[in-house]
Amino acid sequence: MKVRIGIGIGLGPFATPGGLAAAIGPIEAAGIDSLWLSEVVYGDLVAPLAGMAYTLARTSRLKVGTGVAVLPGRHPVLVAKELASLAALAPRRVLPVFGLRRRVRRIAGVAEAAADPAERVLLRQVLHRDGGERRAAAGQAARHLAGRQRAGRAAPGRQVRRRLARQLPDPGRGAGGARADSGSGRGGRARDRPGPFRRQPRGRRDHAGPRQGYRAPAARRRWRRRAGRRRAT
Amino acid sequence: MIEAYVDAGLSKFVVRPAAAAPGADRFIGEFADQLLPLEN
Repeated sequence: MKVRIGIGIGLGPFATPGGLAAAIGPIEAAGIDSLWLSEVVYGDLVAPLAGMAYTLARTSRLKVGTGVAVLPGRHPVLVAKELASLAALAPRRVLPVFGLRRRVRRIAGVAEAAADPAERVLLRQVLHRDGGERRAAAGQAARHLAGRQRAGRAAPGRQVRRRLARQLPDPGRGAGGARADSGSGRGGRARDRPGPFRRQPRGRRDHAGPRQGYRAPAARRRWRRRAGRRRAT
Repeated sequence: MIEAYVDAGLSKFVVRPAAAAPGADRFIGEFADQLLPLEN
């Protein structure tokens, strides 16, 4: 295996836009293999993709990577497009690495997106294809995510993975089984089911009191619990 | 320390300053002197 050692920036003299811009020339001149940009949103660090584009434009040999960038909260197809563009402009010098947040955190009262296994799968699928294939995969992926947004809530990971496996052609299996989910399964398609934020028909409002023999779906009960907690604080 | 990792089979490393280092030029110079010879 080739041993390669890169410079990571996070602390120290490169951790500001000016420090990074000044260091790129000497790093390239010293013959260093690679430069790794961390994603620190609330700080002085240059955002990884912007810093990569800047560094690649100013160098001819130095490789740049993300160490690491955050995927949740970004559309995986758009991220893949940006990376593919960078890689086309600077072949073999772009090294993307992503971190995956496992838990939903709250920052200033706003929940951040949790890692969705489907996003990882999509990013990988789109990045692994070339040219026309990539365009086709990106189109499928965009349609898939748009469908999920119509459903009004994030679908559970396992369900999404299964749907993805059906929708995106498996290299070993060939294209098949597209849209196999229509009408099947408990309660039909996701967007036909009452979502947690969906308005109830008049006369059947939930706050009219508990109805006999009715239990709200788990997602709505969870949403109500959290809404109560939000009001209490 | 990196040699020990290489012996154990690792081959890619990212080294970063752990504190506000004295200067970029000095860090890059020492990096080139001490770590570039470990590459193959």
